[in-house]
Amino acid sequence: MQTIDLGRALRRLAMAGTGILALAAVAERAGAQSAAPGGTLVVADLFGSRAGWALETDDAFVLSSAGCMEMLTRIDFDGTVKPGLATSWVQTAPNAWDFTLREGVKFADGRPLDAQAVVGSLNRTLRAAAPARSFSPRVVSEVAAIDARTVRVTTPAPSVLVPLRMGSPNTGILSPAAFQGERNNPVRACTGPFTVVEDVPRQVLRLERNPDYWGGPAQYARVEFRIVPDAQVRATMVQTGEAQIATILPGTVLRQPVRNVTVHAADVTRVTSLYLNNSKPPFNDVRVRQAIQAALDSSAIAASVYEGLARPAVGPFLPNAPWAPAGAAPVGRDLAKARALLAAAGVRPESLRIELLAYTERAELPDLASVVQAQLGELGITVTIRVAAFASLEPGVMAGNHQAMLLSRNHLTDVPDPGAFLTADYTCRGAFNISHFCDAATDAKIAEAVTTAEAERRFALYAEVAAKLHQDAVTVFLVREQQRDAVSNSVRGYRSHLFNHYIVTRDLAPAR
Amino acid sequence: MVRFAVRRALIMLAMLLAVSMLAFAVPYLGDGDPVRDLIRARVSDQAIDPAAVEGLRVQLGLDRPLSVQYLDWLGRALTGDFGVSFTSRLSVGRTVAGALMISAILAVSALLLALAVALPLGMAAALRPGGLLDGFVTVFTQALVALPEYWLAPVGILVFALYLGWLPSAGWNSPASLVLPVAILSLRPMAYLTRVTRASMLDVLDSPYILAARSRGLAMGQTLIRHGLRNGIIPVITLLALWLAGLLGGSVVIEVIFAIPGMGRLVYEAVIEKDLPLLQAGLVSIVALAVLINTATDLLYLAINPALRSSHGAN
Repeated sequence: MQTIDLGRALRRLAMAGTGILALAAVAERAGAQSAAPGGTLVVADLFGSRAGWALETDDAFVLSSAGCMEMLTRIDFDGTVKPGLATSWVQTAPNAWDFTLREGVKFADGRPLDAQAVVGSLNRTLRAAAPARSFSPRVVSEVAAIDARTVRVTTPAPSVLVPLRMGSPNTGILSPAAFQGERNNPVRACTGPFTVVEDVPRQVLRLERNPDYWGGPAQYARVEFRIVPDAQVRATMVQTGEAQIATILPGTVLRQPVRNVTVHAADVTRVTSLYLNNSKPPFNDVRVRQAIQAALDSSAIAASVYEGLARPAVGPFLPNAPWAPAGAAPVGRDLAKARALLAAAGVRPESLRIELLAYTERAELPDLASVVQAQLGELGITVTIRVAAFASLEPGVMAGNHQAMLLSRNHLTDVPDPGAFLTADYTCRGAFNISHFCDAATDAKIAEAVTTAEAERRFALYAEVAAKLHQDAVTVFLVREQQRDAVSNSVRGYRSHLFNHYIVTRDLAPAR
Repeated sequence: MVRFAVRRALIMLAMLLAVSMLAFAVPYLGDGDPVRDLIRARVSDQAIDPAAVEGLRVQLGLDRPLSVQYLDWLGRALTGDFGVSFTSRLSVGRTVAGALMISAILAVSALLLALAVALPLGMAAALRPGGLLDGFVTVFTQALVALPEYWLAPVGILVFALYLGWLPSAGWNSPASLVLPVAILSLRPMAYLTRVTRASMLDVLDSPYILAARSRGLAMGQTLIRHGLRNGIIPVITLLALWLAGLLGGSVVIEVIFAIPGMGRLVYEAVIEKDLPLLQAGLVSIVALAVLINTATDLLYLAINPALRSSHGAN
């Protein structure tokens, strides 16, 4: 009986498959060689443009961190304000600041950086339908050109924060050519050490060195920002040499040391806390709130839920922030103290029934809720957990219908000054006062702080407010989070920026 | 036949209308406000200025009654204008078409690879049922069906990208970047197609016309190709069409893990970023394609096998 030689057919198929793999491997090696450090720096990033490069959105942070877009001032890696596209600034009136532009700066398309270009770029952002919190008509009333090299920023009320605001990527400056269509076009529209040459939505942002950069040419000739949603894959890309930097890695990725890769873990200005509704029983009694604070073990939470990649919170701020209270420390767990506080408040632990809200957008919060439930359960308190999307919890929380909610909150999203955060979250009329905390003395302190020009005095007032919030357990501050980036040892000069303004800088260079 | 085609076309239109209504209504069914959600997706901040919410609502035309928004959208969609993405500000039609093309390349490549393995393997297994190869095929296909893509994909990356260094981990920028996602995406259809080929060939091999062909002295290979394959391939084509309809809608797991900008990732990100025009157009396109492919498959049956026409009332 004659048969088809299926074995031979399968062998041929296997050979063809091996051939394809081999060809692919050769092509990949060739690609990897062309992308070797020194030529191209590849960054595997989580986010690309999500809003048509609208500068009032987080897209501005992508352009800034890619080394393309610059602002009038620069919040440096140590948190201080440094000259950017403006070389100096002065408060000419309580409501007005004048910025003097750097001379001889050009956009990558050859247009000069002058006051008209700066005003056009800033006004477009200011007049957006949904402007950025750092640069909205609430905080900036007008931007105008005084002369070719001077830009005046006017505020509706006296403000000392304007130089800080002008360092936010939301106030980035692009060439007038960038604002022609339905969406902004960053191609050859920046002044930074690198300029965008190609934007492939949802895939890659390609940049080239700006040879005429006012700060001197960068070390790398090209940069690629590749959008890779999966964190494990981003980390693998650094290990294989496909990328040199992988950003925003969770604690579960690259836990063990890897040869030729350094993991940079840095504090971010984000604190996860248990927000208690101060306006209703039982949490309108400071002793009950303090009892809850004493019953929770933030060290254990950091070690378990966050697998060691968070630290116990010392209040609303990072311990090394200039506005943190001196000697701020986490509250240690003390069940005896918690029982005593509840007894003093006349509350039996067994009688306490708390509904704890957690939202789904942050994957760790339901786990954290379970740990809080267990720890309060040791005291005899019954906690029920409700997990839902933030949007569905928000109306009830803003209306004050809740008891307690877990929230991960970044307290410095707009400017490196906590005034806006404290105003929104802890003043009687605050726009995001989900603690429903209202104290006239605190309101007065915050109002005084945000109009105080002298930084030392301003920071001292912030510290006093922070100490009160912590001591009175207005909110139970649990853990402060860390961000992890993986960087190939073939790159030198990498530094984590506290506010994620910069990843690629002119100082990044191939290691020798 | 024509009556049948017209009836199916009408059903298809009704389905698309229903899907477009659902796609429009779903974002409004929850407690949340789509505009607040959209702003949150654009800025990493929970505290949102109410004035900004209302400003954006007006700018996007979301302050109008839902019925007015829907009819406006439907009118434009019928002319091929699906509007502009809330997030990228790019044309939704062009964005969906681009993603669809990528998913189509991925799906067709994966199915061709699956077919190239499944046909010979299934036929070989059917030639000696109960034999060693048949046993291997049974275990192999069961394993492939059981292993999920969210496990296979990271393992594939670890082996072929990290340890062997043969293939890139992710991306859509070179032919090499196609190999791993296509290979992993092909495994499950490969398993099903192999089993269907085997079962179908077993049926065919027992048929009198095969016996007749063999008794006329036709070689086994020629018999299989001329008579066996032609008749046994129909269930394989049916399954292939179903897989194609499914995969054209994109594989979320594969496209997210391998950073491929196809339909699955597009719709997934549209949900996350609350990009309503993109979500609506994406869902309608996926359903339209699935219905279109299924209708085309049904019509193909009728063309191939006239006996089916009377049972479908197509005469």
